[in-house]
Amino acid sequence: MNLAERKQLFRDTLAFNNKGCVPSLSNVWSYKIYDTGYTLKEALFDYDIMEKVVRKFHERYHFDTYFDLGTRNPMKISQAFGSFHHRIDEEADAIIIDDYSYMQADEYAEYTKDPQAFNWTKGLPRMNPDLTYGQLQATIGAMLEFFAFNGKMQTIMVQEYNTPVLYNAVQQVPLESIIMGIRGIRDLSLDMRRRKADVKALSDKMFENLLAGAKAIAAGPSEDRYVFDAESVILASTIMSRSQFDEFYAPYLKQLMDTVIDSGKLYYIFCENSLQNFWEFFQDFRKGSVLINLELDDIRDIRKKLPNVALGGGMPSMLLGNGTAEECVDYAKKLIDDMGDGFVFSTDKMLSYKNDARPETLKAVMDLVRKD
Amino acid sequence: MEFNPNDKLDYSYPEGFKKAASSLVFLPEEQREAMLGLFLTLLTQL
Repeated sequence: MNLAERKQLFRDTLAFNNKGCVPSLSNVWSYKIYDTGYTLKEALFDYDIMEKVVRKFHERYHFDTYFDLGTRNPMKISQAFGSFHHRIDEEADAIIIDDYSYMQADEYAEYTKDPQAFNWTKGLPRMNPDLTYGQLQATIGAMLEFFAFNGKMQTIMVQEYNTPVLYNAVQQVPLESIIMGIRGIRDLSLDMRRRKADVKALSDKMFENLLAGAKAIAAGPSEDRYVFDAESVILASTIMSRSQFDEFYAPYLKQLMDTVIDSGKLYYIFCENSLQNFWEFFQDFRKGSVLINLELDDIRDIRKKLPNVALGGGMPSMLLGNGTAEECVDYAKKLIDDMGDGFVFSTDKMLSYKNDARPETLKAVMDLVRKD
Repeated sequence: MEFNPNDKLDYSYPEGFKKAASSLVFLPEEQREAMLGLFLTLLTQL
């Protein structure tokens, strides 16, 4: 299957017109490092090794597209910066990220007035008060090296493996940035109750650039190398009530999605945790425009609730990690039959840990959906 | 302007920001402030 055919298969699947041919999407992250025989430290700090990881993993399993091409954890940038918030715990097979905040509760107005000025005068020095010119140069250099590696991996997948890149532009709702470091999980939870106007004012400010980006995507061409024109990861919803989602999240996501979709472009949603609390948000999007990748939800239940959007996920990591190859194949066959058209085969969570799957079980289920 | 790599950044704004941007000599001059600005927007990833 060539690149154009693979892309068309996804487009047909979003329109529920894939006629039983099921595309696959790799939601595999750090697991692929273990699967190919490396450690986190070996792969995350050496892009040559990470390239080998991605190549070996693809040559073994042949997914039709990949969420991660070895660029999820830019540890080399954090290392150059001297960050204390990311660290590798080899014993636990985990990358630990602290919940931290570099903005205080009474600083919303200052941040909103000029984010760049705030980040320079307060955000950056709070994260590393002793940063030197040499460290800054090294950090920016590491950032450029990371961008180059990302581009290289995309080109390898497209040109050498006829495998399209999952998405072009990232469109994160402002709250996703606020929860990541600006205020952190704990503080933002309180702010949404005690400082509603502040949170909304900052969200509105941050949204100006986001909406401009969405309009640029809408006005531009769909590039050949990407399956989806835009992507949003929904994570902050995990700390929100339904009413908070409606107030702080839904209006922004709706505008971003409408702007992109109304121009005929395709939108990818990765819903971390569960969308049970806000599934109605998606019920009016036009068939043929959206794929939602699920994690903990019952995918068959969501299919009944949302017959208008394609769904991805469903293959239990627990089974891939603990079941036999035969049990996994039986489960995958039934899942594919039950879901029918409008379904993208993927796992029910991000595969991040050593025991999230085993080579023999993953190979067995991927052979079911492999297209040469 | 010359920079000692071991000197700490000047966190005044915009003077310190501009000075730090001009230290990114491996980038074309017209890209330095934009790249430093991009770095600041990615702070939450660090």
